[in-house]
Amino acid sequence: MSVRYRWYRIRLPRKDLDLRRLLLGNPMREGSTFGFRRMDGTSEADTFRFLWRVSVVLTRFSEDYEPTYERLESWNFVDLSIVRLSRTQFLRIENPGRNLRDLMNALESIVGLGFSCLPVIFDTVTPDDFSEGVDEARLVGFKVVGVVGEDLVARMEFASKNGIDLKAMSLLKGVRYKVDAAVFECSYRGLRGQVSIAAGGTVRLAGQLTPRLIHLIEKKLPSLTNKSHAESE
Amino acid sequence: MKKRSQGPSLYFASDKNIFDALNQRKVDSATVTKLFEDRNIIVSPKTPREELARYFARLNHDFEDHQSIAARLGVAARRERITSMEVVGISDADALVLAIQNIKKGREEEGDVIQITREGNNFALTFQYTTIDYGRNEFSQVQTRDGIVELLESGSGYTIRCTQNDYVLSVRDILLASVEKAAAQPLTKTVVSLFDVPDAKLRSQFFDRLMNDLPDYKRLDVIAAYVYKPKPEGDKNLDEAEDNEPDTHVEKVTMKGVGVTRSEVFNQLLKDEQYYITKVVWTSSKVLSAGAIYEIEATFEDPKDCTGFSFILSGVFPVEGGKPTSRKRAPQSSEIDEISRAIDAHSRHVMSVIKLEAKK
Repeated sequence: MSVRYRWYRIRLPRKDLDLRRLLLGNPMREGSTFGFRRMDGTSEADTFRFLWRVSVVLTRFSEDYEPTYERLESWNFVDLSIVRLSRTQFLRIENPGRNLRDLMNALESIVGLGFSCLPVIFDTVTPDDFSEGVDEARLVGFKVVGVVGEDLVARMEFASKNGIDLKAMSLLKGVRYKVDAAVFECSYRGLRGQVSIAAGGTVRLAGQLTPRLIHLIEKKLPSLTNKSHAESE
Repeated sequence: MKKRSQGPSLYFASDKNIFDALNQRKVDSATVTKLFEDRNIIVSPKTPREELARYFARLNHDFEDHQSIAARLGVAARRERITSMEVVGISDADALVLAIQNIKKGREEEGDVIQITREGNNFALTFQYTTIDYGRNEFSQVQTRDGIVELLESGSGYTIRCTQNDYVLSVRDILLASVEKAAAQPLTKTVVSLFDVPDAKLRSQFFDRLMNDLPDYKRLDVIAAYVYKPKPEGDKNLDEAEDNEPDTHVEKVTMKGVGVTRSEVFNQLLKDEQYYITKVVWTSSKVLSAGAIYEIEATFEDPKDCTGFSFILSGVFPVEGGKPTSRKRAPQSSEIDEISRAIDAHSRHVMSVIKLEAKK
């Protein structure tokens, strides 16, 4: 079974604000439209469940086959972890939906004006990023958009069971390209795992190595976000 | 009332004006064909427009011809923002009636159309007036516009809600001056303004609370934010040579997108650069309702002093099949009224809270 993750770098308006405490102070109450519940906690991350009220529309048909709509109140949820890495806070969202507007609106209303979040994107990922923490990391899938001529771009997808050596790929030599997605197969002490990283920021993890791969990705987060910040500056 | 510096209307169009107008895309072929038909001339659809325009421009033209061309080239009046004022001290509705009648007489003498409706002690004055913009082409210089001044009895006095433009605001001021003259004591007028709150953070807080804490509504998204930082004023005591103007200064930044207020670029401008919010566009829906989404815009007309607060319900995403659609429609008057009441009351409340905080 695979799990999708997304990370967001978050900033709070004041240094003395503790997001963990703020979330604990907003549990699900009667009449409230959202709430947080603590699920798990480690020294590195605290995991919460965010619940929010949603309405589901039921369609009924009359005897004349005329539709009538009925709204049912229901709840939705998403799990998130607060990850602290070198004085920067990140949110790790597990299996995020199409958009996280309800969660971000809730955080903004709890924290107040000055709360900001920046989605982490992965535009430069290589097998070397994983090789330090696992015995073997093979690039088995690779999607790029490259400029191959004047006014000519190519969308290319590569796949290999044995791993792709980027340096040996003559096809990409001298080509300016942007990585859209990359799939790595990793092994560590007999355990196997697979990580698919999309440039947009969604990471899909599968296999027994998932916790270790999360740790390896999160080690890279401060440098990834600082790089994008420095480039924008 | 502001005096017009130019003539009241356009009575004559030259052959060049007609030629230019008929060559514009806004004037469709059916209109041109009709103009010729009125002169018993049949034109082929294959005849080039320029040729038709050249021929028609040489003929005599009457008022009706001008009207049909102007109707095509006219400017569709956009809905304008709403502003409000709380007035305490109007004790007598009869004095108000008298002042309204004086306004009606004066405006009608100027050629405007004014309609007055009364519901109990609430009044609504609807104006139809013309404005002239000499910057536009000859056929769209005269624009007919609508304006409204509503006087709604509130607990302590009257809430005067009106369209935010020079014409309507001047009518409101004349009306109040007339009532004040008849009243035993001066009126107390309160408008939403942050003129005496110079703190950038508090000025931004005003909009943040306006959007987030609007009673009975939940904020869904902030889709645009305009931030402002006034250019530092020079020291008048210094000589011109000593008083250097800043070489680089960005006065206004516009940000559009989704979740604008939680973006890093927005927060950086507010926190590190001392910019403050002067205009926001956001979407809200009612907490207890079928789920229609309202797009609301609120702004200070003068960003430097934060005066001239106004707002507009710019659109509604209605519910279809139980869900809000992505097709925006113009709001209905009941929706405008409901949102206006909510924003009127809430903006005044937030302003008084912010002013109290500023004094601390």
